[in-house]
Amino acid sequence: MMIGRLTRFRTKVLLSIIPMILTLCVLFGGMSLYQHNRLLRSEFIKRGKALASNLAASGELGVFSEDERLLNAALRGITGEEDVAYVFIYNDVGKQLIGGGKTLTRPGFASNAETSSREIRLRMLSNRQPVSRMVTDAGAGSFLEFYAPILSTEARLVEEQFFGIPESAQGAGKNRTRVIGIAQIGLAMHNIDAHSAYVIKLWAILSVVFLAAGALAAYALSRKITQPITRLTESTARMAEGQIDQEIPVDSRDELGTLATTYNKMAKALKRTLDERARVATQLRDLNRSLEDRIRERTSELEETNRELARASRHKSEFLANMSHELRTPLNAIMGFTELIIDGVYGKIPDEMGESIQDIHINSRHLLRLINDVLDLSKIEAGQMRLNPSEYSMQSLIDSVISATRSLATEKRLELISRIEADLPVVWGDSKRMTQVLMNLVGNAIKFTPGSGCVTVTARRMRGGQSETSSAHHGEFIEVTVADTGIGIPAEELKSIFSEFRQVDSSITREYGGSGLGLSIAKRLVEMHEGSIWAESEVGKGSIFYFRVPLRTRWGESR
Amino acid sequence: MNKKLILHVEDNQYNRKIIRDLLSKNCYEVIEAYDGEAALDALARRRPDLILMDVQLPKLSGLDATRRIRANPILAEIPVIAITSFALSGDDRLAFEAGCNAYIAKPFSPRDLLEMIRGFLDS
Repeated sequence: MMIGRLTRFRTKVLLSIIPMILTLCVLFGGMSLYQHNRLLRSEFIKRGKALASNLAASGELGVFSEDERLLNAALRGITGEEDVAYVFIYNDVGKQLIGGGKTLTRPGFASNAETSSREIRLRMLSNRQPVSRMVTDAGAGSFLEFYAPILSTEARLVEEQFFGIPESAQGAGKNRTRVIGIAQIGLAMHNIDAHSAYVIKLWAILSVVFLAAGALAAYALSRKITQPITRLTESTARMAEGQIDQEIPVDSRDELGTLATTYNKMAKALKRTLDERARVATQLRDLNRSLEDRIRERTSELEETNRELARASRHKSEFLANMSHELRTPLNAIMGFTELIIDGVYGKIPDEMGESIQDIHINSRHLLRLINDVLDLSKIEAGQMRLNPSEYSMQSLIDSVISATRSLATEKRLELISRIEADLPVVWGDSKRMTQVLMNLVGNAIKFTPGSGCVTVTARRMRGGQSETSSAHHGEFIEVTVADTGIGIPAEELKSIFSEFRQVDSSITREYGGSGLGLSIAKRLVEMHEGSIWAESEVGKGSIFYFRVPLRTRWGESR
Repeated sequence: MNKKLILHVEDNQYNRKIIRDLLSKNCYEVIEAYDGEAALDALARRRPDLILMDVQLPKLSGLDATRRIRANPILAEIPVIAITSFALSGDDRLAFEAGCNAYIAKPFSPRDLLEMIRGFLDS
């Protein structure tokens, strides 16, 4: 389509240039032809007039004497001329004295000299100069006729013959000359016509040559213009198809050359841009790949670390299990033998030894509690603590804890009361661990309450949505409280009592014993049940410990 | 009066001595085995009235030995009390699954154990 338009552009150039050349040829050729013809004609007339004058002069004697021999002699010099068609000499009354010339021999030639002789004579006689006229003969073609007066003067004959009469002399000699005859010469026009035809032919040929040259030049010019455009167009088309690497030849320094140079620059810039883009894309791909590699590497490293951690964790777990076994086995022997001694298996104990053996028994029980606490906490922190969930009754759990601690309370003369709401629903959880929690809370209450005090355990069912902690469970739960009338906990200590190795005062450890891990373990265990634990206290008046556990835990429901 | 025979399987000598002293004093006859295989050997010779089986034993574990005992029609009815030092949640379940009748964790009180034994033998 582009190429078609360019071809039309070429045609356009040709169509606009050819008429211009044509017009120029016609105007120029016509003008020069016209000038040439005029010049030719005037020369012709001059020549004709001169010939007529010559004839008139040379024929004077013959006319005067009417001697045919003289007349023939005068005629002879003129009829030899190539373009002289006919020659006549008349006397003063118009009688044809003699005639000659090539045309006379031709058939059909009819001289009309007679008809015009009067008019011609009048004109000649008025100025005594030769005159001319155009004559067209139907049979023989066109002629230019010349008439010259044959003058007779004795005195000025020589001057008359050469037309060299001065104005003043002519005027002076007028009365002394008279017209004795007329010389008539007819010059054939066909030479002039032929010459004109030749010139016209020449002009036509030149015109055609100019036209051809002009058209050729126009074609070459338009081609010079369209060729780079075509190249550019084709290159652009190739570029559009994706062959970016384009360079077109620059063969001129004109606007088209500049265009080609600019185009090449643009193509180079485009190629650079695309190359750059491709390079960046490649880099990006490489980067991505190396990133993926690195991620894979890191992932495998992480997996390896995870495996190592899992291995370490398993080792820790195995270590804990082993420690548990290794610590309990000798402790079992110590406690077992002590109890056997106390029970008198080996006979009666001497009185002075009794108290010491009781001390061994008490301390070994304490040691066992410490070992259990440390192992429990380690297991929880290692994520090794596995709950063994089942449905259990909170009522019977509380009852068993109360009965297990009753003797301890009685020893300290404490009142141990339980107030449990009727018809508590069963709870899903690890009853052993919940027993451990409650045992710890009740044990602490008894431990920190002086004699004649009171420890109260309550339990009630509650609706969700009023939890005071961040615990996320909804639905129903059971709240258990353990209240005492003990020494209380200062407000600033209340927050940290659930942290590890915390008792209100290190002196308390000495006075009351305990690992300081009990509450921390209780908190972890309650939280593992998706519950919450907290305390309220007033120094000197006593403390209340609360814990809530949902009836259904999420992990419970999934089982 | 015929003394009841109790087989005690335990690898620790001090713990064996505690049980031996406790049970002898309370008029039981005790035979001892060091591990699970020795226990099976002992069972091939004499049929006890009760077995005290420590769970952690070299060679054949207490629970595996218990399974063998339960698989033997002659011995299947003998009560087995498992003694473990793990005291982990789930240990009791494993013991019962292996065929034990009762479970006591180390360190145990000889009084509690005696009470448990009497519960099986004096009924």
